[in-house]
Amino acid sequence: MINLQDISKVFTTREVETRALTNINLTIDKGEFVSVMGPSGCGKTTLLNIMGLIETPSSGTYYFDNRIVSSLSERQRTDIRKESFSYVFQSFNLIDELTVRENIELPLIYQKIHSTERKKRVDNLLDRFNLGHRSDYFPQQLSGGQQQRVAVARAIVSRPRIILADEPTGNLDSTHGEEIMRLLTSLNEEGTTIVMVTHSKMHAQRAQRIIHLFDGHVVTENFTMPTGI
Amino acid sequence: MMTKNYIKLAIRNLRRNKDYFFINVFGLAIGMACAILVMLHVWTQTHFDDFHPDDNRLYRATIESKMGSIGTNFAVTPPRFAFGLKKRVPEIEQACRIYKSERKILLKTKNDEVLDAPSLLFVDSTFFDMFGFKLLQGNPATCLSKEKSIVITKSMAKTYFPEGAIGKKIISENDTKWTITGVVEDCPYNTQIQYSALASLPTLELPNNSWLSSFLYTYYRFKPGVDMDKPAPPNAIGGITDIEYKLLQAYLKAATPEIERTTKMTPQEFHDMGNNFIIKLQQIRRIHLFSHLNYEMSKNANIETLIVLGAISLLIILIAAINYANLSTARLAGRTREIGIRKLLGSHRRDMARQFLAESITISFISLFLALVIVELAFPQLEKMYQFSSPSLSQSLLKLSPIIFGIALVTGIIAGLYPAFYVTRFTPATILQNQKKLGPRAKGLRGVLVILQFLFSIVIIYSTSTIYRQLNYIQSKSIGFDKNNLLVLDNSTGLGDNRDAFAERIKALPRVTDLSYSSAVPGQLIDMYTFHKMNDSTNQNYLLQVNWADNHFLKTYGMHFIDSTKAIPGKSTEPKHLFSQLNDSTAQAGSETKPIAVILNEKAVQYMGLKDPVGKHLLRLLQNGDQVEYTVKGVVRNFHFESFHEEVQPLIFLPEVPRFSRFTSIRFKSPPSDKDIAEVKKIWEEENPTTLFSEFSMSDNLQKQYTEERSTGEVAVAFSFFAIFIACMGLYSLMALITVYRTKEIGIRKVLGAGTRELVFLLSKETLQLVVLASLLALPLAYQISRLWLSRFAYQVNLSITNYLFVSAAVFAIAIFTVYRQLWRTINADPAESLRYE
Ligand SMILES: Nc1ncnc2c1ncn2[C@@H]1O[C@H](COP(=O)(O)OP(=O)(O)OP(=O)(O)O)[C@@H](O)[C@H]1O
Ligand SMILES: [Mg+2]
Repeated sequence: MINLQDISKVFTTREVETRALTNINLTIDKGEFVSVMGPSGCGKTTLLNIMGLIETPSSGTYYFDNRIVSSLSERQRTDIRKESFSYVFQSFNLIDELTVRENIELPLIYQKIHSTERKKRVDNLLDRFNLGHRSDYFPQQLSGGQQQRVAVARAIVSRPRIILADEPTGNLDSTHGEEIMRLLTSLNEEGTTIVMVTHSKMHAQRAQRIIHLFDGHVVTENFTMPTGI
Repeated sequence: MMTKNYIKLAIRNLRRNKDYFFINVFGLAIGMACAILVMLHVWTQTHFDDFHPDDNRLYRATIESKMGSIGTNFAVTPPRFAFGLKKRVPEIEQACRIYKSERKILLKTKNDEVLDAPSLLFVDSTFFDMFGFKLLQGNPATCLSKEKSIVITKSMAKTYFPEGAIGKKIISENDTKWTITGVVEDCPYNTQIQYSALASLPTLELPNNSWLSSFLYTYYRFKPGVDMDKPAPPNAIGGITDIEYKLLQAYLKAATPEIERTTKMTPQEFHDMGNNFIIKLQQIRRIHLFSHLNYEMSKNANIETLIVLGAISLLIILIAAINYANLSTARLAGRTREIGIRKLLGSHRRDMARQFLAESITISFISLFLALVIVELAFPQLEKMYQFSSPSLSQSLLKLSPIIFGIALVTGIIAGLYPAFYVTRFTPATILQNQKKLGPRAKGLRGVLVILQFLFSIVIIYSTSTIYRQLNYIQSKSIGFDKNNLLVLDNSTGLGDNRDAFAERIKALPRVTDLSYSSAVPGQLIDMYTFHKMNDSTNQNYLLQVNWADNHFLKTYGMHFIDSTKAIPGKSTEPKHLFSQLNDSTAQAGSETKPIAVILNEKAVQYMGLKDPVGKHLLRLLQNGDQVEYTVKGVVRNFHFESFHEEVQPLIFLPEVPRFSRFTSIRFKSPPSDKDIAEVKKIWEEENPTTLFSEFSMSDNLQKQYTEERSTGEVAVAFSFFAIFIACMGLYSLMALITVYRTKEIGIRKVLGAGTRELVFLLSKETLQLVVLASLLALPLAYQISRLWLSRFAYQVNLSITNYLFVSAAVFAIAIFTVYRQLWRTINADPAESLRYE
């Protein structure tokens, strides 16, 4: 499903060149749950961005569903993103002007889903994430952990084929973190492909495979047992 | 010094933000330049005739007479009026009459050199006592008291009499020899009394004994201490003042015998029939702007035009000031955190507010400088457009400098006040806590300001479109005759006995189809006389415009009789036929044997209440008590003798009287060329060597009636352009600031699946709302200004709502285009770029 061949990413900013990723070769199959680990600044977010068609690689080829997507136009990429991906960003990226409910609902609006259905799904998630009493709050009125839960809810509400989650549990206490992990696992069992960046070994163990990144290179790929803890 | 420090900081700040600085300065400069140009114009127009000594006691007197629904509206008065009333009303200190011949009079030196004197005025000897024109040579008290004395201007004296003018002779038509008794300064631009030479009035053989027939101007100077504003006793009509009432009483007393003779009524009966006279005094200073009578001495200005232009330029300045306020607060919105921190560190709100004011006032004065440069460049153009000779630009600017300076200061304060308040509104805590929420949007007060900008733009553009639609309407509305291909010659009475020969020779020209002699032609002034219906028990007086015209007039002008079957049963409606009938019965005025055949226009029929007008008899009483009898032979369709500023007036055609026939109208097959005119001129000079050949094209001349409106239109178009340009410049940069702060949101939405269409809609929705709101709110103001401007016209184009929608849509389109240009890049960028914004 996701097939990266020789992908590199170089950021050029005022004379300084940063190699964020170097010759990455990686395949992720449909239905997989993959964790990405590595020290800060090693390129995890960049890798996710490239997979999610948010960023274009500097070189290399990206096959998505056996189709070369690394050279598509922004418009075509928008269509693929809308069809297949959901994102949980490291910095949440909630829209400040929208309430919690509206933030979660937004992807459904863009997918032209009927309003009664939207309401049903959003209510369901609000309940599940203990956000019901905060549904009319604005993001800046929430704690970091609450914001993260909203971000996750927004990612899964549209029932995507692939979820790209950048440290979805980074700001959460263990109970809430665990709740999110359980949720992701069950989504994965229902067939959703998940790529998750995490610093927590424990959470990484949930995945079937762990990719270790170091300074823009894939150093190891560990296969873990689906049994988990 | 503190202020110096503020300004230094302000300049440093502005240097750092060049784009923003440019937009503000440029917008403000254009706005100010417009305002200064309009102010110059207003200033010159409002300083007419303000240089006469005791000008607050100096008045022009006019007399209106009203006969039923029709009244005279003349700036001129009867000849006995001035001194006759001076004798009877003790408040009058001095009087002076001015007579201005409507036609150009030929003046020559002894060596047959023709003098260029377009405006020869005949005045009483009190002229220099009354008015502030400086006599450079000669005795002001006596130079005009002898008959046949003339005073010429300095430049005329220099051109034609370089070795001294006093005592030299000037010869006018019919060989009158005038002696130069004085040299006066050249006529200032700012007077309504435009002269190129002044000749003694009593020399002219004018019908000097009438209290009723008006043809010259009367000026009075009242004694000091006369209360000019005291209201008249309550029984007086027409909201007149006490002094006007006194003049009226004196006038009625003096004129009674003549009124009785010509109206067949006693003054009381006359009054009871709904007729009346009203005497009005106009302060000389106010005439130029506020008087719109017939027979004005020179073309007056329009207060409405000044108000409309003034309002428009004020709106432009406001648009520019709003740009400033909006842009600076939008910039601040992105820096709220910085401001919060600064405040935490102890910077005082008042200091910051002062800093903003210093910044905006600095910008305002830099803009003023640029505006003056623009004015310097644009002034010659404006001068040409308005055809006024004004004092030099720098001189006027100097006089206006306090106001200009004030405008710059006020603009600076207005523009800086909002940012200053904006920044002091928050405590550090609220700013630090809510810094994200404070990102700039076109909402709240800023939204209101953007709405105002568009509102003003729409008002300006709509008013401009009204001006243009009215000009178009004037152009396309039928005036009731064919104004094209007509050449008109003035001074035709001078043809004398050669008139028939002249007419024959002109008609023989292959390109000429017709020729007509008449006392009046459209676009020129026309006399009004009182008529009566025969056997009318009420003896009511009717005021009719009178044109003594020959039997070719209707055909030459392509005028039409009204529907023959209804109005003239059994009679041919061929103009030629009727006129030959009319000519058959032409008897010299005064003969009572046979009624004279006349033609009325529809309005006259309606005014006099004539049923079946054809065959009806009318009467006119002459001053000597004789009466002339007329028979109506036809009714001509209404046509516009005057401009569309005036209603069509009742009019009567009387058979031509050669000594009244001032005009020759010549119809050509196509527009008369220079060659045609040269041919006509040659024949004229052969047949009539003594009078000046003075010709004009009928259609060109009619165009001139709207010169002022047309130049107002041009100025307004320029203003509209500037207004929308400045507003869009502001919107563009405001959107730039807003999108910068919204890029992240755009990125998130894109990642969540928003397509281009959705984003464009999202981002322009606010603009759409603002423009829709602005256009709704602009409606009343736009209508009001348009109506004010149209009020000068008796015939007005309808204020159109479709046009209004069109203007709003256009403004919206321009706004959306501006916004799109700004958004396009952001929308099409990689979302990663946007998401990185923090
Ligand atoms: N837009 C950019 N311009 C320049 N350099 C960038 C840009 N984005 C990322 N980088 C650089 O690329 C490298 C990888 O960044 P990335 O965000 O992928 O790291 P990360 O592994 O997600 O780190 P963390 O765990 O702290 O989130 C870093 O050295 C970073 O400085
Ligand atoms: Mg990261």
